Amino acid sequence: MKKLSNKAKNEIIQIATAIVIALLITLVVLFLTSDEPIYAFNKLLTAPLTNMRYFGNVLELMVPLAFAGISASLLFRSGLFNMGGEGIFYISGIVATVLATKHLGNSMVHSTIVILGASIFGGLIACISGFFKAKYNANELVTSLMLNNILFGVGFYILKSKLKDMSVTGVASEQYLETAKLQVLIPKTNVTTGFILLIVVTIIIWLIYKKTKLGYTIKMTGINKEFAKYSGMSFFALTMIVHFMSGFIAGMGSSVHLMSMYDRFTWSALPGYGFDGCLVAMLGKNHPIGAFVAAFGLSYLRTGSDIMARNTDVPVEMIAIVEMTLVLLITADFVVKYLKRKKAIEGGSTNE
Amino acid sequence: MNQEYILELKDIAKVYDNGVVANKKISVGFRKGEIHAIVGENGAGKSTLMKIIFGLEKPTSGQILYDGKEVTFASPLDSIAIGIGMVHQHFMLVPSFTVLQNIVLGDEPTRFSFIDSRKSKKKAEELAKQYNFQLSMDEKVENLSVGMKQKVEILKLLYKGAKVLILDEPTAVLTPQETEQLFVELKKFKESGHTIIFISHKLNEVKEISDRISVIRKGELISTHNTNEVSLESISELMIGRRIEYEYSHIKKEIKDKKITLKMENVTLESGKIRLLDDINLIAKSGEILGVVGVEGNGQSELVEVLFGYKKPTTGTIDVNGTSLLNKKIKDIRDQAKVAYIPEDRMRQGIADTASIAENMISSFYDAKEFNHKMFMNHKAINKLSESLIDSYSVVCQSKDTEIGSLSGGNIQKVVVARECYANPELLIAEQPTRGVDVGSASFIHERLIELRNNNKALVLLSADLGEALAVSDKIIVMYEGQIVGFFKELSGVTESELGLYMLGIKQQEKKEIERAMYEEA
Repeated sequence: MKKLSNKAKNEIIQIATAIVIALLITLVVLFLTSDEPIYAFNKLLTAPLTNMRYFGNVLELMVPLAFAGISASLLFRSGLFNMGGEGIFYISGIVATVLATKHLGNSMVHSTIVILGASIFGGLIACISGFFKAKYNANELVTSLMLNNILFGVGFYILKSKLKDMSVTGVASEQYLETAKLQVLIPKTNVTTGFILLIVVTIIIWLIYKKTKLGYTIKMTGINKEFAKYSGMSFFALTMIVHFMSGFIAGMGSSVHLMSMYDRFTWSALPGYGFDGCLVAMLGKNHPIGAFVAAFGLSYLRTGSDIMARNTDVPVEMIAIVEMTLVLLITADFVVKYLKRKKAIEGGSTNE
Repeated sequence: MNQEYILELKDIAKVYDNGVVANKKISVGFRKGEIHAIVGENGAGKSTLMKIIFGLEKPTSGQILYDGKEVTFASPLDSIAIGIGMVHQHFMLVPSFTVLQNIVLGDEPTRFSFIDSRKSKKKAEELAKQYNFQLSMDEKVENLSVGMKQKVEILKLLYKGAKVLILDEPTAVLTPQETEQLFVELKKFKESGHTIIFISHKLNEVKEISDRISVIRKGELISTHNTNEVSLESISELMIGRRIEYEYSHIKKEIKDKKITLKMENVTLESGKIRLLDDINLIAKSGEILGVVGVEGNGQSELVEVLFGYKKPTTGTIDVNGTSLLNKKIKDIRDQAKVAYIPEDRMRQGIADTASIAENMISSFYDAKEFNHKMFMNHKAINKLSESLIDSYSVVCQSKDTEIGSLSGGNIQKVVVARECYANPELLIAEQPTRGVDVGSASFIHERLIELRNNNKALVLLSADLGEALAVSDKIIVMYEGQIVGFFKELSGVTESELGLYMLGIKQQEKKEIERAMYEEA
């Protein structure tokens, strides 16, 4: 056990270092561009804690990020580089909108139908890339990125031609029924029962990883596909299951987000949560609890930067510097690990 | 300055970052206008050495001299520039380009900054004519046969002015006729002053084509000989080295109720025109270890691949205790037919290196009832088994949670053997079970295999170590060019050199004879 906790410790140290470096770079940029760098930096870091409404913003924004992150981490952990969360967030949002604008029962029942419908649809859509990967070994990165655009095109067409509310200007669906929306947990914020659902999903996925055959298969396949095959694990079945689960969670994230924060569906572009999910999954080291924490951190930074932008001369885009530095530092580590393993395998067959 | 050699290596050593020593102080010279063969077992370090010469890997220490001057290569571009070219085992061609486009790729002659295809075509055609290559320059490479593709590869190097050609296992993918033709061409290059470095473990080919032979074993250059002064047998001995004497007859129990476990009938595996397995008929009985020997690349790995469901044989049937293995998934071969397998390359197939020992210990039966209750895996049972196997196999490690990749080769192999034996198979396929393993672990592993035999299970042992094969097996078959050319049901009088004659195709038993002997036994 000692060895394992050391490994975890190393990873935490490494991520902490990445965050510190990213913040230092931010500080330097602030000094170069802003008239009040210390004030701005202070706002960025502490503002979300100053009142409950701000903190509520952090929590409500982290929900879609965490769902997207867990969705992506499932795929990454199995060694699949699928970035299709983006399109699934969009199309599942459309499905949720269709269901949420129809009378389908009282509060609890209706919102359950909306979320389940969007989740199952998301899972099935994800299986498209999964199937091509499993059956024909088509690169899942390519198919999923292509699928994002297709799903957006189809979804946007449905929004404009079928769902659009003619009484409002701009592209927006009809209003969601109150019964479809999720119940607010913290007053004056949009933190809803969706947050509880997120905690439940995080724990379930964690249990799957830690305790079940499926989790074991995912881990072994992710580490060494050849070994998984040799052990008798079915790559086809695993790829399909993991894709379905991933799409299911992405669809859930999308519908929970919409039913917590929105009155109508108004996305006229891909929402960006799918890609943010990849970032969150990487920051969280493909672990559900890691993703949960990473989503919180990212959401905290974004909320902080938003408040900073409103109070100082620094634009909100500033936060992109922090995020990109983090991505760079953490993916760089991926590269090192990959190289090490590749060398070890090539060398390993040559000699002892 | 020693101008005897066009290319000379001095004390080349290569240690990989993970501490693996691939080459130890290798010094060898290549003369102008010679065919110089490099031979060695798989994993001896031939490929690493060639990668260093070609600039794909940097040596940890040592010098490379070309034409008497020291050179360093940052990448293959540098080595190509001074005249060293390599034909890889797997061709580096663009399938959708024409022959000509592939040949000139990266070095296109231009005219007003457009590719001057007329000029390049003329130059390429001249070269092809000079060496009598029958190639149509406008044919797309994807439409060519393997042998033709190889010609394109060679022509590509000549076009770029290569003086030294490295050929990595060039005949592995060729039919006998294509091989013959290749040899004629290689001799032409030699005559025109090119140096050819020929890597192979097919000794008879090496003997036929080369002028000199260098033997590499365990990363070291053992010796260099003029080909006409050495025999195949002595080279094969040099390749393998002095063996440790194993002796196990005292622990082999007499088994009474043997039965036929594995039955392969008329199994053939074709890849293109080549027959990798040619009408294999064999029987393996319980309570016996059937050794399979042969020079690498004569069908042994393919035999394992069809047995364990990696490849589907072109024709023939395979039964284990009456269950057909054809069209079965690996899972079913493991669970229904009760076949287990110790793979040759443990790092690639046998383990998940960053997972724990415990996780690697149960991978072959992770879904057995024993290790699961309902939804969750039974970690208590898994840990208990792991600890007891670590203990009984004396795996040296901190604990069952240690990352398996951090263990030594011998200890990793013990985990693999422990796992596959614990699966309690009816048939165990052991492929090079002690390769790269220290002597102590090796005899420990042998004893475990024999223990399984004593429990009246069937084993198939593939080994490049003839000493091991003779000591551990009860019977031995020899494979040569995808066929079974020898069957020894009694090993007491059989020597390694006797086996060697069959392995090299010098001696062969009558096919009918072998089959009769095998069935008679049954």
